[in-house]
Amino acid sequence: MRLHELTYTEVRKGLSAREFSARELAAAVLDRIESVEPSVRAYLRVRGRDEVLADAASADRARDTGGAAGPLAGVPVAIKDNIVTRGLVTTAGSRILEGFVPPYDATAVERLRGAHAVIVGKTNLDEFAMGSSSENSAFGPTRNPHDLSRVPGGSSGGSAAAVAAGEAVLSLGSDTGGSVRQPAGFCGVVGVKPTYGRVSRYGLIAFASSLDQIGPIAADVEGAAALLSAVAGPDPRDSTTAALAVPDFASALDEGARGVTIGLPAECFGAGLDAEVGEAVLSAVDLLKREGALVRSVSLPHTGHGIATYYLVADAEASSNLARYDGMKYGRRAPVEGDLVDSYSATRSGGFGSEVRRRIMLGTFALSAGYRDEYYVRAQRVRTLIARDYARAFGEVDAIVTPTSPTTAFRLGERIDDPLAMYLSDVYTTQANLAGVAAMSLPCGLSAQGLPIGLQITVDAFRERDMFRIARAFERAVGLPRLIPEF
Amino acid sequence: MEFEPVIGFEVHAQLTTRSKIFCSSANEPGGPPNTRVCPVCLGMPGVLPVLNERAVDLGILVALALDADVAGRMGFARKNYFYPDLPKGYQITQFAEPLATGGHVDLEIDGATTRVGIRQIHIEEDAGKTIHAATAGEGASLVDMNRCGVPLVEIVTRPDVRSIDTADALLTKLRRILVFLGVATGRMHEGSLRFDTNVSLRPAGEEALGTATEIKNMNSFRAVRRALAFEIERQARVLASGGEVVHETLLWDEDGDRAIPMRSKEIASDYRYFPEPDLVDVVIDRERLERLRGAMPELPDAMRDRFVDEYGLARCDADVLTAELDTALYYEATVRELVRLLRPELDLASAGRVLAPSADVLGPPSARVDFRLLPLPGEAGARGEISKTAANWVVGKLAAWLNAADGIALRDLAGAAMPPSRLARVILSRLDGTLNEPAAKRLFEAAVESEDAIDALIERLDLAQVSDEGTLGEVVGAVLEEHPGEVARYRSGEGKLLGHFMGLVMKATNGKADPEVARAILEASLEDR
Amino acid sequence: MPVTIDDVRHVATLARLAFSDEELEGFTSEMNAILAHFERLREIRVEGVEPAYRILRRTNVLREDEIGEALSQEDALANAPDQDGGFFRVPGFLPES
Repeated sequence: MRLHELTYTEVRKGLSAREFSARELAAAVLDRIESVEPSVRAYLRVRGRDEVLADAASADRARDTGGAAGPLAGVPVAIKDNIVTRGLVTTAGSRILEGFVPPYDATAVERLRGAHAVIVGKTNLDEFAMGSSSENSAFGPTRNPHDLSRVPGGSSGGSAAAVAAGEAVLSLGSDTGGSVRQPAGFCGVVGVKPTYGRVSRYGLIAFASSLDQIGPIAADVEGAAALLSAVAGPDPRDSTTAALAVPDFASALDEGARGVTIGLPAECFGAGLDAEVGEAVLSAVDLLKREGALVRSVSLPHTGHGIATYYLVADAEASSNLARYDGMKYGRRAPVEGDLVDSYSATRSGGFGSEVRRRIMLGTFALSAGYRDEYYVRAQRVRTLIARDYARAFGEVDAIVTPTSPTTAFRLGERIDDPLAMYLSDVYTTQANLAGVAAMSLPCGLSAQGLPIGLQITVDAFRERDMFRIARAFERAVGLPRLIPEF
Repeated sequence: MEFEPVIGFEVHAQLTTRSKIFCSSANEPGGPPNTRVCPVCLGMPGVLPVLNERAVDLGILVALALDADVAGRMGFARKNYFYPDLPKGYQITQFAEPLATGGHVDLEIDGATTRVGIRQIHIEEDAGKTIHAATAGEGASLVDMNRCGVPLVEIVTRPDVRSIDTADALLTKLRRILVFLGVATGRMHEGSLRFDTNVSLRPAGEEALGTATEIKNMNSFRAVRRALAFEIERQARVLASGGEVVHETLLWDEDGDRAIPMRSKEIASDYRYFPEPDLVDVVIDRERLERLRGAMPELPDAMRDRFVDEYGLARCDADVLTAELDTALYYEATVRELVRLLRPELDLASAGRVLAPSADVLGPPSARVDFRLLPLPGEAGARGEISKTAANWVVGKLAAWLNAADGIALRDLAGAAMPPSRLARVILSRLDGTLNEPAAKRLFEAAVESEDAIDALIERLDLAQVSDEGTLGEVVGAVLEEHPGEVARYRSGEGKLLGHFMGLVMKATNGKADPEVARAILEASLEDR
Repeated sequence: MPVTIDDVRHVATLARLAFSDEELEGFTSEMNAILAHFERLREIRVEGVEPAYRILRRTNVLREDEIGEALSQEDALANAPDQDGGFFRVPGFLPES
């Protein structure tokens, strides 16, 4: 049995039936990492073998002594490197945080540890989660396991690639404008952007505070639901978590799609969409219809303004969130002749990569005197209109189905010099963050070139249960085999 | 040309919460550097603020006390600028949605009332401390983050102040209000109260405002006076010579006794305020307002008026006693202890009228008794004698001792050598005639230095007053015997010699003679001969 | 071109980023290209529409005034690029020339 090829559902079954131990599973994952990391480079840091195996062994002991073990006990999980881990270097993919050892855990990580999940390592990302290809990492790009000449998407490219390549069973990413869903789509795995407020942001290194959410990535829908269950729920350390108990996602998985109403927004099937991506999504919709879903069209009239709105809001917040990286308290300080102001500028100019500097500049500009009302405030008003679009649509349908991205994974270097083209690859994903609703991407087929195509299901705030229900119904009906790339 | 200054203030006061405003690190001044910190107040990556409810409530108390309009809904904003003692690169403050707007402070200056308007009241986080120590080395500074995140209330006044004296009265009054409310310690030397000011000049009689400058970084009333004097004079010179005042920010240099323009590099010219996305709005509902209104402590003016009414004190004594909350609380505790000593049989506590002070020896009692309603012995005058004697002691001997013992706070004295109960015993020894005035003063001085019981001290120092007529008659007889010449002069009309004889009697009794009894015997004896 | 190189230089100062003149020029044209795309937002009528600063409808998330665990001085300073006697040591201002 090749343990690293198992989905979460299979892993859980195997562990429960004691077909293998968590220690054997962890060892298989570590072996897999050793063999494919030189090609994929999903991880920035893999924890020491002994530490990982010790954690796995302790999960085994918990299972042996405690009887019923939790759904994540002994499951190897990778963590995006913008989620802080106590005692484990956390850099957010940036030189400016090189060597930073947090003296605290993110709430999501604390909950994973409490659930006896086995943390494998920290995954690569676009610096501070700013990007759609993972090429903006200060520590080199991650490659798409299905085609090493292509990007895994981003910014959670490392987390998506790790799961796709069998280097982790589950992973945590973060999604500010599509950063979980788009790489999940590119890598052929399942990725969830929960409702804003569903998962604590405490310990998630902030990019855009009003948009950021930590989200799960898995090879199967059940894995994503299980991981979300483990990390979700109110947190006294995050004022923006919702005061809502986490529903039982697992029980939704068998409810089928019969009777749910799915909306198709014409705005997301127009110009710019790759024909084969559009076809794959529409045939997925047909399949859902055969499963008993009702399909109708809805309108999201402000879709064309999503990107501009998103980048203004996100970059304005980012320009403030990234002010703390100044080389005074932690991180790297540039050696410089001169005074305090020179030190700030040298540290920040040298410590941030070009995309991060571009975003800080754009965000600072959008908030600056004379431009604030025209850019930042206007964008926030348009955001209200976008949120209203969704509210109206969800008055009519239970879920909205679109492609996750207009294209499949593009080649490394293809868009790196054209920021605007890069930004436009987020055209279907940013709106869910702006509206604060939940969305996920799941594989719905392969392109002619054998590249995964992602299907996006969006539901109203705090309706993730409906989303998982539809996703699982599709996953079962389509029966796509798990693709494990070999190199 | 005559110029009129137009002055407004931003007053920052640290609030007396236990923990910081957005995290649970301790809000305690002092301590080794960087020991009252956590990832949140250090601005580490990924951390989030969570608002301290008490900071909100204390801010609302300030707004209510200043008659401001408390917002139904308030929110926080980020003020973006770079400084090493600002770990996040922004300060969480309030901008478009402050806690309160409007309000005023009434000042009584030379019998007239001046009203200074309040523009806005909000709460925010304090920054850390940058120390430009020589030990840091050339071109380097040291930063202590302990103060980061300490809650502040900021009171922004309207530019209604027209003189340095009014400025002084305003800030003094604001400090008293904050201290009486219990929301701030008012300890200026700890930097718990800090002032920024806006000053402009205009030709007397003109309406249009001149260009203002801002002076930052003053943390004493003296500094404010000096800074205003400096800046008013400077602007007057500029204007008188036909120049123009430049709008700029100046930093008060306490040691150099001057205001220095801040270097352009240090000032963020654009704070890029925007709503803080990590916090949600606070709805301040009627219930919260009513609860806080109900918990509102007595304010300085009300307390002063009550001291006049309730204790029958002169307005000037009431002013002195209520100038500092500690003094007022000490005074009331002393009166309460005196009543207890005089009427030990009264079970005042269970009557629900007088309650013991809280654990803090000067803490306000949870319920107050009206002194006028206490069943005290003796005729009506006795009641006033108690309250006035106590007042005289507190504003007289006690204050004098504290003045002489530079650096000892009443609060500390009350917690150790001279709690109100001890002073009450000293006062009682005078009130009940055990000691005469000079002896009582000696007793007080001894009681501050010693831990002995008051009765033991009176005995050890042999202070008890001699009132016995027989004993005093013998002393008087002996004194007159020894001074026949003066006796003769007295009888021939030199009445003022009575004082001389009194002095001799006092000397002969080591100062213990009851002056009234001694005087009566002297007068009678001098008549006799 | 709505944004000039001087605007970009000013923004860079606010953001504490230093660029060469060449980089500034690059940024200026890049920002103008991005902003040109963003200009489309002006087509939308937003009068009377409240900004959606906080997407979550929650209010009054408050904590009790209780003291929690502090970091040790050692932990607080563990990641500091420079420290001295329990303090963060940082560059100072040099006298203005």
